[in-house]
Amino acid sequence: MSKEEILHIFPDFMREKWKQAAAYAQQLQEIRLRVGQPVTVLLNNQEWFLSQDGGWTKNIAEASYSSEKELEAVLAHVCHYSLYAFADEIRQGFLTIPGGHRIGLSGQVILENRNTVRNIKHIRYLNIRIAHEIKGVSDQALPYLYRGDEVLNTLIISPPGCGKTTMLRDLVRNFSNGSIYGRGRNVGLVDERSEIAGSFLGVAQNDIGIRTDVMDSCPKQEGMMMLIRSMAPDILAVDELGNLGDVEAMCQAVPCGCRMLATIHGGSLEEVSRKSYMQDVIKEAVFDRYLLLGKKNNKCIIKGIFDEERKLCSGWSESCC
Amino acid sequence: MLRMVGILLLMTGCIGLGYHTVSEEKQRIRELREIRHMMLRIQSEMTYGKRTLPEICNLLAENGEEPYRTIFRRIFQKAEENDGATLERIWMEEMENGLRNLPLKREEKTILKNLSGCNGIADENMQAAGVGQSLDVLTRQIDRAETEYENKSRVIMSISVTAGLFLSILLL
Repeated sequence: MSKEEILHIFPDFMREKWKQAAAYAQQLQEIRLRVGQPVTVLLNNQEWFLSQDGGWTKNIAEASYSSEKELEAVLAHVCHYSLYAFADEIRQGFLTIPGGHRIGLSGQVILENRNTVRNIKHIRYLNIRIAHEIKGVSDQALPYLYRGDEVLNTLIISPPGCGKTTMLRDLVRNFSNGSIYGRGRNVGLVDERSEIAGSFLGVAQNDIGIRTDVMDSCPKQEGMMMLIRSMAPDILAVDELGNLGDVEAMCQAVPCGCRMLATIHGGSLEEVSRKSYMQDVIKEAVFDRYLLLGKKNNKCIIKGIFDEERKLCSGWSESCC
Repeated sequence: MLRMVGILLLMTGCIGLGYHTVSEEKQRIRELREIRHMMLRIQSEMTYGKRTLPEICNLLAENGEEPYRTIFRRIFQKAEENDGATLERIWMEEMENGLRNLPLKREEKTILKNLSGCNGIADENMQAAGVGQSLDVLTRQIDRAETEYENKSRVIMSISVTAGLFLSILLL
């Protein structure tokens, strides 16, 4: 993450204002632009206003405000002045830009058939989420996810904000590159929201390993089947199993010889077991390992690694990740 | 003998001037057709390929003819540099420089120059329709240029021969 990457988000007439702030690229987590409102940034988990001279301030009177022209210019700039090419992303409410950073969009929604979003017009709110790729978070869990040379079907369980996607990305990278625990495997990654690989124009911006094939911006169910048919992956990785369709597609993939690596929202294994679409999967022990993430002292940790019988793996002790 | 050489040179000069004017007109039509071909490519890449404008410029740079190849390559390179300049500004600058020596009328150059001005539409079909409007104007311009060429070429060549003869008689 460099100062230039931050500056490249903005068109030339805004760069002077962001020059000073971009120097804090490593600590920068979020930039929020709202028309007619002060520019806010999240820096080391603390909210600041961008001051008129380009620095940080807690005093709203000194804050710099976003104009409609600025927001439109930023949007046009990140879309390479080709909004039409990003219509699908805009419809979903976010864009991924080089570096894997994500820009959330909000404005007036145009509906089609009363319930399908056709487009978003008058985009007046931007949330620029700066990606900080953290490598090595899965290293401690890795030995528990192999049986001999065989990769085990693994489900990552985590509440929001506890590093579920970061963990998945790191595991994908480790399985793909190979490690002392096992050789490198072909990994098929279905990246529905471009969060894992952070692809921009089809090219992964994050390090997801040398043997990973990405199906970007593709619904999980279709993506899993497409990858199995076309890319013959050894491991299929998906983020956020959210409904019965996702689980059914996953269950079709397992008999094809693919190992599964998936994530799901949840605070505990019991909570996940209560989800109707997960009950059969857990009962039939489709997953060999459950990786439970959480927070301790405001730090993301691996709370436990459980086997198919939902017992804590022997030798495991809680660790920071 | 010297008179004969003089008459021959005079006639050659006049016919040459006429031929040059006619071939410049022919070249103009060729350039217009090339521009139309490129605009059709831009339109189809927008709708079917959903490529961004810089990407389309890169494709045109790979497959296009000179001087368009250089113009589009420079637009793509400058857009990739990402120094913050808008694509519209880069496009206008490069078109201004690249089209300077082409035998095109001002309004014909303007069609291509203004193409990047309408790039804020978030729907590929609507965006392509914008290019389509410029394409219609260009097609009309080509039709007009072809009709003009047919009518003018004979007249220009006749005038140049007549002028040559007239000057020869005058100087005799």
